[in-house]
Amino acid sequence: MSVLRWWVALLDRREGAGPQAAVRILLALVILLDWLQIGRLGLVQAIFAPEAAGGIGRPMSREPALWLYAALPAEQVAPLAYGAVLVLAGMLLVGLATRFSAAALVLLMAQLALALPATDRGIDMLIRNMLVLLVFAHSHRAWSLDAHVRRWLGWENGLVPAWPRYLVVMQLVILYFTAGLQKVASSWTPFGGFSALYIAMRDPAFAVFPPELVSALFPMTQALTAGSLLWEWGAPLLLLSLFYRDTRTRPGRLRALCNRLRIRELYLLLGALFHLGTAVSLQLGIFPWAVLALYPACFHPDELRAARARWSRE
Amino acid sequence: MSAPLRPWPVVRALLVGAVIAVEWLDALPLPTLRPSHLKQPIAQAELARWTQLLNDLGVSVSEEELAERGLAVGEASIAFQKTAMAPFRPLKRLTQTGQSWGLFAYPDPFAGRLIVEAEVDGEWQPRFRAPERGASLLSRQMRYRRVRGVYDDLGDRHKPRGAYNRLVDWIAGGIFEAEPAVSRVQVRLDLVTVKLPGEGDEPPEKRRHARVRSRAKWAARP
Repeated sequence: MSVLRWWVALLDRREGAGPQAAVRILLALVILLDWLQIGRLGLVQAIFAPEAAGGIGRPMSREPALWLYAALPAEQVAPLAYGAVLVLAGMLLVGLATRFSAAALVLLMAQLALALPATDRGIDMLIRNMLVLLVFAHSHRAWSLDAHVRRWLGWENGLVPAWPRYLVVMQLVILYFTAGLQKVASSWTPFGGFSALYIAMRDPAFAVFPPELVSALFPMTQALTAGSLLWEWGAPLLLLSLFYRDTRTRPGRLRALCNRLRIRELYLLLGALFHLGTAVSLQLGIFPWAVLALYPACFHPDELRAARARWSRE
Repeated sequence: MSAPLRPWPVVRALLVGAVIAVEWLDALPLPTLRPSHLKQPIAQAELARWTQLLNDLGVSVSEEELAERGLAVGEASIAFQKTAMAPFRPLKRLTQTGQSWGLFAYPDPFAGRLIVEAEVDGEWQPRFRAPERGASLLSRQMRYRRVRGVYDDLGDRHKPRGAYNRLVDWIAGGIFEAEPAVSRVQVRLDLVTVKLPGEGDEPPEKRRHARVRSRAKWAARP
């Protein structure tokens, strides 16, 4: 089979919508919790309003002009847009007009990101990447109000194209692998004593533990620095292990070994531990949770169904 | 003989392939060194360390030469990525999406510590000192990732202006409103030098980027 045929066949596959729906729900939850925190801390005007209305940013002076800020009065743009984000994230969570919600949410969040760009972090960009994907995905075909409406109308929810799930996996691989390649500071190498994590944990902007404790843990931070770098470099293994799993009936010792060692599960387990570890040891906000929200995409719907059945039995 | 391919699956497969290719292109970790980067203490320290390493390996190069080469490569790779991504810029601008993942690529041993103080009856009192985990509203606001982004990104510049100054205005305004007894508010981002265990004592923290706001001026604002 030619590469083109294989590629076309791969992207033409259909499967249950469970993993795509799980990503949607988890991502919407992260967005909702993060944005509710903005309101609870009284930061809506400060972050999103123009300077004239009490904001820190200067969205009105941006070129090209931001349509959101041109369309609404300066005093009302921040609370209205903030309210809209909450409503749209809620709609995404319950799967109501899912694709519209995702599209409106990404456009709105993109405008708000430019109000004060320093407040928009890498993880917000990752969330917007995934929202764009959700516009084209079929996450609304499971665990959603849209799915109920479809059933009521007599339409099938059935199987959906699998390619959006593959793109979520690809996003994870790009994120981890290129983040690993970008770590060229000497503190990520033996020449800098593998001190990157130690330095990050001592940075007052990210620190959680007192400096004395971090110093006492220095050897452990060195091991974790080297380990996390290797783990990021190893991100393509995730793709390889998924490919080997998919072609497990074919011969090959490496394939058999990879499947026997459950490389995918091992990689994701290490990833989950890495993210949970950084959530505890560094002030990273929503980063670990938003990335973990993408993990269900690494599993075939049948696996999720089997896990759920096993869990219900137990 | 295998069955002929249907048109739509082929178009879709090509489109998805193109999307993946563009995302990888955007994510390419090309060196993007600019002259402004070299002014930062961490860049100076990295330059010295890599020069030393190269010299130890027998490659004779000075810090100036290495910086010059780095800037030349940086300029070329910035130009390449800019040209290659140009067709997709309108879409990226509209959705603010992209693939740039420098997650702690350069952990900074010359970090900033945000300090907020309020003057009451001529005496400066602490209100926030990063990374304290106090329960006060100010403390929770300063720890929130988006606010932290303002002082962490902008405050680390050589001479922070713009958003950093407006952040200070906003912090001061909040304190003046909540505490009538406060006459002045000071915000600064002291320089913290992190040394590794065994490298000796860390130097005392150095006052940096201090901004003072008075109640009188705040009250007289338009």
